[in-house]
Amino acid sequence: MENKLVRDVRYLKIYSLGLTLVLAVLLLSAFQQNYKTKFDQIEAERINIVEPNGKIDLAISNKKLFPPPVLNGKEMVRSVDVGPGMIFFNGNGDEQGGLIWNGRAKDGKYEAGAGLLFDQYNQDQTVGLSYDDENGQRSAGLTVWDHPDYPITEIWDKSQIIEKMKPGAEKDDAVKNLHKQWGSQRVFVGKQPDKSAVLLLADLKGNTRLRIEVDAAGNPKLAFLDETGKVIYTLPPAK
Amino acid sequence: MKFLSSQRFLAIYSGILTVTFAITVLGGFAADRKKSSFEEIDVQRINLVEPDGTLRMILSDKALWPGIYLKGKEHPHPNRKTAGMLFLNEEGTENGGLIFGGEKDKDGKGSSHGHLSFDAYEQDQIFSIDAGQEGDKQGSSLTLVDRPDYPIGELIDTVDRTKDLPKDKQQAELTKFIASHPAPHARLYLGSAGDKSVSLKLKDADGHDRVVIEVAPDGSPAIRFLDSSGKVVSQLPAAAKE
Repeated sequence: MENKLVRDVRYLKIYSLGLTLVLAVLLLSAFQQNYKTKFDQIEAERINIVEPNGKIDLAISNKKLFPPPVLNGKEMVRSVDVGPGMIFFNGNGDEQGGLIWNGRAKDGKYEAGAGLLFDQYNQDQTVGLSYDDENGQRSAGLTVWDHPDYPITEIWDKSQIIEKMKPGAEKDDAVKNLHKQWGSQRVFVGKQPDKSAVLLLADLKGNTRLRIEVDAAGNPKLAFLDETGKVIYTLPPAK
Repeated sequence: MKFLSSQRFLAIYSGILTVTFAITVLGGFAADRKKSSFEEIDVQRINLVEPDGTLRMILSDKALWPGIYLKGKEHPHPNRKTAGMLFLNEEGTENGGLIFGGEKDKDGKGSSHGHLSFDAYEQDQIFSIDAGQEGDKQGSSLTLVDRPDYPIGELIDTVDRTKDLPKDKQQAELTKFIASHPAPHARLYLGSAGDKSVSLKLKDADGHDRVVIEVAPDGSPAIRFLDSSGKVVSQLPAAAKE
């Protein structure tokens, strides 16, 4: 009788130990599942790729949850309607570029566009592939931009002050001045709304100085320009 | 009472338990396979895979960024640690990628890089768009490169084989490998360089500039035709600056 009791207790010990192990394995594998999960399809309004400390690297988003531009740690408002798409963030968590697309018909007309853009540090886009279409007025190509070395937030702050100015010549001048500070387009290769295909190289101020073009009528042209936009040399030679 | 303690009850009970268990397990598998919907997901890495498990695309943060994939096998990459996307072909071999990053260093100097590239089969990139900045030096460009025909796996094998050797021996092996294999050659460059010039450069099969279309840092435009030794053979506007 006593022997049976001892045996029963031993069985109980072995049994509870076994159950504890099974439970431990189950718990650990549950954590494992948290680490790596499998789906056939994921549907989400927004997906953020983040570092272990929570810093965001990449957001894939619909239009509604599209992230606002954050640069130099400051949140701003986009000058144009953007999204859906992807936004890339740098090591500081500031915006660094993106891949965007859109298109919609309205009142028998349409607008469409797409772009892959990489930004200068704490600044706006510096290289990109883009497509822009307003009801058939379309351009597509590769563009390179230059921007100042200071953060774009300084230009943003000035734009907020100008916004509050009374309409008039003074405000128009301020807007024009600010636009110059934004930077310049240095290179464009692609097609333009006038149906020409071009390679444009510009100086630091954004004035086109060299233009290689096949125009809408099919004529090939090469033009060198001075900084005022005057053509100084052409091929074939001007008649 | 009698019914509850009967063997018949035990048989029914274990039957029901087995069915319940089967449903739970199968249901669990089914849940793994279904389409899931979320408003917002925070994740470190997403792998897009074919039904047979072949990796086709990785979206990742820096911490879980992969090495180089070659026919489904991952090899360590010597220095690429970044966030972005990696594209892989039908054989699970790296095919291109989109990477980006940048931050302020201890001296307050900002650096930045953005890069989209597509690779030749089992070789490095043949098409790329780059934006880069180191302090006040910035460049943005489109580059096309001719790659040699040998599989890049040979280079990866050499790196794997020599990884435990001292640094100088490792470098010597690498130099030997590069010297005994054909080199890549850039064929086209379009962009803005760190010296504030912008240009389109068309290069021959050996990578020498042969046509340079340029606006110099001072704003002056020029087109130069060069021979393979780098000598200007013709210039537009004619002999503006010889």
